[in-house]
Amino acid sequence: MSQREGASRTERLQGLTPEGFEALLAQLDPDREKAGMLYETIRRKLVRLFEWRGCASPEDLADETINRVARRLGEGVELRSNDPYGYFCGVAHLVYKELLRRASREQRALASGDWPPACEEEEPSDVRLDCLRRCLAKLPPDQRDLILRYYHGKSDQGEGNIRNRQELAREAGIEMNALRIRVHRVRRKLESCVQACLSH
Amino acid sequence: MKSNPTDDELLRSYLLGELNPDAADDLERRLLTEDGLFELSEAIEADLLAEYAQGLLAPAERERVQRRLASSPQGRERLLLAHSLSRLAAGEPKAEVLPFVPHAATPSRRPMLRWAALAAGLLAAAGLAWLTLEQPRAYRVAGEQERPAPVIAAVPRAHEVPKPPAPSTTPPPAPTPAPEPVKVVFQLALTSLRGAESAEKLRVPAGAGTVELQISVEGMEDLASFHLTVRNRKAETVWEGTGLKPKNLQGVRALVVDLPAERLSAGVYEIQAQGLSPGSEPEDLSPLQVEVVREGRG
Repeated sequence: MSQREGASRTERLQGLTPEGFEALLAQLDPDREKAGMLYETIRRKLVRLFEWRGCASPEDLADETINRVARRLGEGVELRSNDPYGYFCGVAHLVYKELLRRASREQRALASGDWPPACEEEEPSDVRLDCLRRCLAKLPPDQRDLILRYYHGKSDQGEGNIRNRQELAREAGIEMNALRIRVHRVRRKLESCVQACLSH
Repeated sequence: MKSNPTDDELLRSYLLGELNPDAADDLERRLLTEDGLFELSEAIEADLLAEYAQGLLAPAERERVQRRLASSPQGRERLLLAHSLSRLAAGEPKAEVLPFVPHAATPSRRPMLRWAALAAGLLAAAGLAWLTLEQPRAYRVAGEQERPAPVIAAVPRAHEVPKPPAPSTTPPPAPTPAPEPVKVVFQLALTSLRGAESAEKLRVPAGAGTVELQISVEGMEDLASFHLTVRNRKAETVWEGTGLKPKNLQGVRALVVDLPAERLSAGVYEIQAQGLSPGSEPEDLSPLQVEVVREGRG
């Protein structure tokens, strides 16, 4: 990670001082480049963990977690070299628990005492579908065929859907989890492509 | 990486929020350390979203997916992709896809949109704060006007008390000797996590003797009193107050604390807060970051 990228990330984080950020990188790895990559990985994972806990603003919470860890490091706390993730995990749980307490308080404040649904059913727009078609066309044919077959299923074909995937795994000569990950990598490409297409 | 059925089941249960807290904590630690497990978790999440889109989940599972996996903007995007892929896969099994038409090499508007969304969010937050605190602001201004001391000329901002307009009938003040030290008031809230770009700037003009912080604690009615500590970036305590009781500022529950302006040199400060309620452990609240900017000095 370049100095500039580091500074930019620093600015994004709440109250994270350059010293705190440097202390964080130094403890992650003596090689600044590796430390930067490790930092990005940890942040990305924290964002996803907060998402999987159902948090509506996972990026803010991940940044808050990193910020607190960096502040502690700036105060002289040291990460255990054999488990640098443990400290992040512990702080992330504290941040999450704070969020729960706050949410609980806000919930009590609501007269109905009930949360609205987290999201409503949304149907993809025609523009989105067009973008997806274009992005599928960019894929190599084997990857396009793989993901379309993987997703081929209807509400009355739950069992058929599973058999379809087992068949795919057998054809490819891989385990189901390996198939899942292979499809997931194709899907990630599509996700980026669709986002770029929608922004044009 | 372990990719045995136990991991599949564990991850699916975790993603649906069915694991007990200890098991979820353990799994999260593994997810941080094991890249392969993490990728599998993302893949299983995508499967759940696909099953949701295809109507293959039981009602209880659907609700869990909605609440956990689709509660963030990113999650909703993924769900839309799952819907789209399922629709195209069901209706276009032979991969009838449009030919790819390359776009002109224009920069993506995505970052711009993101910043626009952020700006809109900040504006909304500022607007809310303004509406909520409008009454106390009026009250404060009325009080200030009764004093002969000159009023702070501060840039009006949602979180600061702007200079009250001079009454039109009042003649311009005659030249006066050096102004007395005055009080400048800032309005803050403890309740939200903020990014660096939204850290509150407290613009303290030269001549300010006291900095009054009005810190909204709306929604914390269960906390009877508060302990506040203001620390500078070296973690030195510059002010501390305990047993602080919220006041009702025209309907807004807020802590009102006066800090000697001389203790607040320019720089970043953290306001740490603990809430206290009888019979309960003190509750740590999210710290608030502020940046003091001294104005009107050489």
